Amino acid sequence: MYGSNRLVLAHFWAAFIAFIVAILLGAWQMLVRSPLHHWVDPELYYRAVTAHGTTLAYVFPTLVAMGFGYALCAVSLGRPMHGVRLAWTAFWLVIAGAAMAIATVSAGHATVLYTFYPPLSGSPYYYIGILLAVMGSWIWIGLMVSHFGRWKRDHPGLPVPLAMFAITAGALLWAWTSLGVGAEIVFLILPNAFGWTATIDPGLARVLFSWTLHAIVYFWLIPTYIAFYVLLPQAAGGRLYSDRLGRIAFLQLLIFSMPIGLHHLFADPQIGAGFKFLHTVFTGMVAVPTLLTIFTIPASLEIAGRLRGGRGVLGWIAALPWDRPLVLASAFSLLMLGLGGAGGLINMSYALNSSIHNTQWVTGHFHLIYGGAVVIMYFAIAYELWPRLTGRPLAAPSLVRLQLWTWFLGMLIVTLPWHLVGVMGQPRRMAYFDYTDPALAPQAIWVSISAVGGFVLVFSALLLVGVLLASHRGAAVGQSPLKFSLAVHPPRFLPASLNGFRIWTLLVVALTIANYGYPLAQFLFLEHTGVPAYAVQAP
Amino acid sequence: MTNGAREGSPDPRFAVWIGTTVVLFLVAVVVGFIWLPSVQKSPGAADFWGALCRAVGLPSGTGRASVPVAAQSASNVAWTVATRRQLTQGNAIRGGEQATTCNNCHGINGISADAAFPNLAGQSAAAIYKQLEDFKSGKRNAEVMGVYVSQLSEQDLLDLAAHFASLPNPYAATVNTSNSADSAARHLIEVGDPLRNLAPCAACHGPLGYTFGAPGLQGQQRPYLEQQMQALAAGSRRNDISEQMRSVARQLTVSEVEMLAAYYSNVAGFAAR
Repeated sequence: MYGSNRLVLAHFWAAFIAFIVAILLGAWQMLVRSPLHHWVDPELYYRAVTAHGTTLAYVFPTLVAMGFGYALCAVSLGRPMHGVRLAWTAFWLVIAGAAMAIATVSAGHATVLYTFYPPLSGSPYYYIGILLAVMGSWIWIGLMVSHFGRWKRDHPGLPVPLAMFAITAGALLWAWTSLGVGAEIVFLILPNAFGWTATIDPGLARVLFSWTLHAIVYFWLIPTYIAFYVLLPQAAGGRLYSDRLGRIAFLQLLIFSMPIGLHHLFADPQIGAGFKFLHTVFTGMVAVPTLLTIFTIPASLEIAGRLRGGRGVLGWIAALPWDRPLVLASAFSLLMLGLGGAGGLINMSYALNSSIHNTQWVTGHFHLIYGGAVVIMYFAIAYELWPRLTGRPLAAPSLVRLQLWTWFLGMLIVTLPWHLVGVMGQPRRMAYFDYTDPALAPQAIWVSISAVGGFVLVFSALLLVGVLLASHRGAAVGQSPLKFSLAVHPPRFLPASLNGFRIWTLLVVALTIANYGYPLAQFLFLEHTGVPAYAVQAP
Repeated sequence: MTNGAREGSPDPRFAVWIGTTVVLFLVAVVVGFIWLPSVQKSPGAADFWGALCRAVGLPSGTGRASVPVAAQSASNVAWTVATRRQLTQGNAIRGGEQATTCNNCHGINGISADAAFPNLAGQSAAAIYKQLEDFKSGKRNAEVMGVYVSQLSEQDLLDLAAHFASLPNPYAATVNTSNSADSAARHLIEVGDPLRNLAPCAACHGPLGYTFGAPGLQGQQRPYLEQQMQALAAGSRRNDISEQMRSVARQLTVSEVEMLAAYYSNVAGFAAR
């Protein structure tokens, strides 16, 4: 990959090592809070939850997006990357920040959960660690945008390859949305954690966090969607139905995924109902690019199926090459995206949300979407990249399929019971429940089932690492370079609106001011909104 | 699909899509800020402006409820922002110099030798300050303590509170019994008893959480804990601001009081402030 192999491999390996640790913690948490185990020290439980969330929210997907971004950049632009030294600096910043944050959590000095909502307050080193990791990813953003701009300058009038266009959209999305949590840490949390301020404003902190909280999920989703558009049709033996629809989808993700975050604060008193409604409307808009994708990707698969001889209304589905990891993973991903998306419609509705707000349903929802639909495509991306990065074939294709199947089934076994007990009223983020209580007893069986699912996921994750490790040791054979899907009608020219971001970025800023301006500005004149921090420190 | 406009030529899509977004925004604003509030007639939104203010999140003139925070009869201390700020003004070194009298009963390191007197080391400044203030004002039975605190100034109380809060945490010396999950005492402490309206002790007194001003109980003297629960149940101690501890203590059986005191006096704190 034009000299980027080591860079990309380093990112993916660091990501998967962090992933394995987090998955083991996750399975342990599910076990100890289920009826299958006696209660444990809740401090240990929350410490594990904090490490699990911090790793999987700030470290794992960021490293995958960065590594995949470098691969897409080098291959789609067809030339070696510049700024490779900067890219390594970014990598080590992320690693150092992650290590710092996780060490602080492990020592028991920052058991604040990955959302670290003030007035909960932990050791400043935890927040500085997260900030360092995010700053590492800002270097990556700069590299992506600079490669995009330089290539465009060198090729006036030509369409930027879809892969590069999409990853740049993701980078810009992350640039804008990471400012929320960055500002929260720099201006509110650190001054308080260092003792420079006596009080902290939880309302303002939550509004700033919501700036990041929803769009971060779309940042995680971008590599998945890129794999759908630029890798899957090729892997399935067909063509991408429409290059332009893909660009429109990525532009809409960039524009609509950020000014909607207040739908996480439906139960927060500091936000007026009008703004909650406004953000609900725009949350509805962010479903549009997903609907476009759900149209374009099956259409592309249908082209592949029919090219492979599939006939009839559904016959093309059977004709698809299901033995290829990308095809199998994409089908699982779309199924989980559909289920999770349907649940999401309930979360985003002001009225319906109140019946599941802060219950285990929410945990089920985002594990299904992120842990399921998104992460299974990270695996598929790794399986697609590995032979190209190592020059050796992927080891044990049947184990690869078993890995994807177990991840899919394991995630359903984990998350569907969570949805159910959430509807039964189980709150999220509890270290233990008294299942002998008649009110809770009916939930016991479902919690036990989901805990078993956690170990199916551990098995699958270990299988993933085993296969990837083994693939480093196969016989070195020349591997065909990574190829991107060809569109049915490859664009020869594109209108400015589908080939650049300048004006769209302005629209993002304008929408942010419109949707977030007052909810943030009100803290300038609201009085008595600060409270003393609640320090979480081990003795 | 290949005959799109060339780079540089005006692209009408910008106007169409940005226009659509603006229209969507305006419609959402009209519905969310004007139409819905005016038809929902929610409390505090009697007129159009009141409804609009609610939608924006601005406390409206009519909808603004003033919540007076004042000390209750149980105590002169109220946990206002001002009180909390005041607590940061304590000087631990000055407090240490003044604590010589305290040390006679509460121990030189804040760990008392006589089990009838509570350990003070590692408590929060808020918890110690409130009790001192209550002794001074007579809200808590001041037969013994009243003699010592009556001459102390407000600043003296703050300094003493800061001093004892700064002493090393005594909980480390106790046995962590957190694994005896099935014990009735731990159940009462970590789950409570909802049918008797008993909240879990650990939610306010640790180790699960600490409400402001509530003392941490891990490692506390067993006879002292028993004595205080009996006093609260009997009503001879009544300085709990909202009567929450009297309501709890009245519900506890004699054996539960003994059990809780035994459990707390032995449990190590794993999440002190």
